[in-house]
Amino acid sequence: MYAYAQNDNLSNAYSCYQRASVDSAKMFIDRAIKEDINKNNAQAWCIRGFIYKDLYKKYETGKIRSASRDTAISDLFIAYRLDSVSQENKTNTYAGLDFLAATYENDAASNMDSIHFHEAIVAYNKHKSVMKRIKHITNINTLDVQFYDALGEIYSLYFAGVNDFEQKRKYLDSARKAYDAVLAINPDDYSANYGLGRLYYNQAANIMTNLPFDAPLPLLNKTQDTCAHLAKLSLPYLDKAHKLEQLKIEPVKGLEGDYYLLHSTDNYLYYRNLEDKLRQQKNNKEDPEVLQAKYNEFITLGDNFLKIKDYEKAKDSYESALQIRPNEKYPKDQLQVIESIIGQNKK
Amino acid sequence: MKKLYLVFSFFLLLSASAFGQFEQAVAHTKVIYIYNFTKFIEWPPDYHQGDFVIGVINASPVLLSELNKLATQKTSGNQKFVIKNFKSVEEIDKCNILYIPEGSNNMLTEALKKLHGTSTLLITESEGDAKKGAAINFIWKDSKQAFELNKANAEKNHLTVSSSLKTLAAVNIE
Repeated sequence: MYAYAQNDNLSNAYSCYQRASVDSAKMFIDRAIKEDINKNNAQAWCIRGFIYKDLYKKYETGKIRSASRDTAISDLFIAYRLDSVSQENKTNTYAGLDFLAATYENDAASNMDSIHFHEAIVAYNKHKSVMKRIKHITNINTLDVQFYDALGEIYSLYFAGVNDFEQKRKYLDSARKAYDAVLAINPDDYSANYGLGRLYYNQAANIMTNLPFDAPLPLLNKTQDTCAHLAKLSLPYLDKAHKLEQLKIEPVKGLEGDYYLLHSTDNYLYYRNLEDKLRQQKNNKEDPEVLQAKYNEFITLGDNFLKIKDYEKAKDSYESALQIRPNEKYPKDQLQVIESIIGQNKK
Repeated sequence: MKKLYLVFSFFLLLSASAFGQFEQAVAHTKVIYIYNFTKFIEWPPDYHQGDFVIGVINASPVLLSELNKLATQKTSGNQKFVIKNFKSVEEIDKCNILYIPEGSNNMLTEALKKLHGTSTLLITESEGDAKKGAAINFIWKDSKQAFELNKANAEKNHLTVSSSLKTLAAVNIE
């Protein structure tokens, strides 16, 4: 911080600031900054920035729309711009801005709930704006991913919680935009893929279950078309989420639901069995009768997928069967058949 | 300044998982169909007495729940809907509609014998059942629940089928 000030108001302000008499410091610095001598004085703007920073800490901590904090940031940026000489002063100014940017980040994080999230968005955007201006943006993408994942989740919760169609659409769009923002940064983000897949799935299930019993059959038909369309939109996201986190049950459950809605029986059974398998692994329980039934079902699925030349799923099914009965010859033979077909196809 | 990155992640842990509705959605679709059928089919006068009974053989809990919702929300003309879940063919008594879900398809032949001479609308959901005696058979077509109509099977049981229903069927079995 500056070692001395050059005139009465400024020196008084600085002196009060050093004694932590922040209210008096404010009075002097506001006078000082209006004086012609200080209009282009980096020191004066810097001192004012730090005084307002302390005012913010004393009176407005946690308040998103804090005038003191905004003033502090604005003043420190002016000081940073005006000071072309002292590296030490620039370092101090920078540290003040970094601190204030971090307070916005904290406010964004602590307001990221279903009631205050609008405030979180304001705080987060202010945080980003400051960070961009001080060119300290190395981790902004990581933080964006966390922020928009959380925002997408909150919009999804709202989407699930409201009944009004227009409101639902609004939250669906907002959630989709939040997740899209994440996927634009990182297409392999699990939460965004899972969130979007779940969002489309839920919309499909919702529109169908909310259709009144006396809906005329042409409307039912049209709604089923929409439902199938949404289930199909959901599939690639849940599939990606499943591939990214193969031990997680939720994406598998979602894929099971999508295929059930689409009446793709083999795929539905495939994911239902996979869900059971994952749950069993989780619970570490083994019921011999249930295992035998699962083994049989995996074999049937493997055969069915082989028939329709879906070699990847056929292979998965036989491998799952082998995990249950490692010494069975049939799935081993079938896996060899598949390997041979895949090998020939590659040639 | 301590940063609170963890808070963003914290809410991700709260994510509401809601993948349990798919069976309900499909069951709901079927019940909408069933309710619509009651508007397009006319039962003989003695089936207009008392309650309008929808019987199901071994209904799943989800289907039963949807049918019971229908019963609380709607009527068929002046008749209240009553839902009966039969565990076996022997239990079947007089009903306006009998629905045999796919899982109970092995009871079709016995059920047809039991329903002989009655005016029960028989609804099934297995391939070929409309040719085996069902008046309506649920099928899947283009990823959608649809139905086959065998008008002759309905008329055998003295049910009058509106011509409009014929146009709404995915398949008409002659």
